[in-house]
Amino acid sequence: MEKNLSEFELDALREISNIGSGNAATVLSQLVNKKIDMTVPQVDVLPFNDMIRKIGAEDEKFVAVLLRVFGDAPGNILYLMGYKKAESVMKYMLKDYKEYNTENEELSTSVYQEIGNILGNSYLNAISKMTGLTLMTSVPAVAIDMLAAILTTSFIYAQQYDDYVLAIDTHFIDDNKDVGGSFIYIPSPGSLDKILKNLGIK
Amino acid sequence: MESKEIKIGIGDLNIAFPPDRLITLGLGSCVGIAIYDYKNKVAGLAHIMLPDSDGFTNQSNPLKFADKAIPSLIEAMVKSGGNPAYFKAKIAGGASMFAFSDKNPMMDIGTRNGTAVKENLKKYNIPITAEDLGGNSGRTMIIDAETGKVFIRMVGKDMKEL
Repeated sequence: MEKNLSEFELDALREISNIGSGNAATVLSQLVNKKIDMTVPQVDVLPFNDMIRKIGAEDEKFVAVLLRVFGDAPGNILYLMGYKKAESVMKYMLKDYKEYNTENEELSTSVYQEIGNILGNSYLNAISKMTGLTLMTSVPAVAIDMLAAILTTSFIYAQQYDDYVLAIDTHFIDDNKDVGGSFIYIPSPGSLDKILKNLGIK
Repeated sequence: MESKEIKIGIGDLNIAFPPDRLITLGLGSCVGIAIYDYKNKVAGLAHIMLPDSDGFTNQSNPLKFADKAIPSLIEAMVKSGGNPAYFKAKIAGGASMFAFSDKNPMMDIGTRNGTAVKENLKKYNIPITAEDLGGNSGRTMIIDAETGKVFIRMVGKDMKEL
């Protein structure tokens, strides 16, 4: 994995993620009709177990939307919300929504898919525009499950098998200072190089 | 004596003696391998994430591969007083966490992990007495070194014995 990124390269990656996540945060604000801020994106190269613990407890329940990224710089985009947070978003999006159950499973899954789709694509569009790379996404897939199970699978899907994994993540913050979700870009090996090259940095 | 719970991370393994327990949290496409020596009461648990180390140049942590972790687990148990003649295995995990419509073999890593674990246990003549593989849900796996009982916990479900 690209463990040896220079400070300059890290800056560039943070900057494009900043613009991408900024787009996504704006869209999310409009979706939930609330002001959404975000943290400065972090580029982390960490061992698997540390990467998971940075986000939450291994067996904590999360709602995850995964988009596979195809094209010039493949990888995955993962949007993660703590379960409680996700339920409050759902209550806002769906009238009469009380809690996740077998009756509304299909409907809530498609709402989560749509949120992931909109956020993921607004992020990727920004990166696409800046780099001139062609990036497309798959249909989003949703999992409501333990954090460790979600994250390991997402990294493996992006072919990140090393002891160290790389992710660029941003936290959304709403006015209550609650974390409104994390947005994680998991590039496949080689994708970062392409992004950096097209930015004229490498 | 107070029993403690020893946590196993991803690509890791450990051994426990009564009254302790071994636990690994959030197995997705990964597979947990619990081996128990029912005579000498030695328990071992490994958490693998890939089926095969073949073709990987960087093997700084071989324990994440099924084909390397299983012999290492057996060796660690033997060093701790276990006898392979009394080893029995229970395995869990290998889920497809995200249901994508296309059947890319890469996406089927859970199934491949499960198959590799079974093949390797067979290779070392360790019988599998129970398995909980596949599906779409993550699993937490616990083995009690006192009884050799293995428990599985899933989100939104009661803990069950495997």
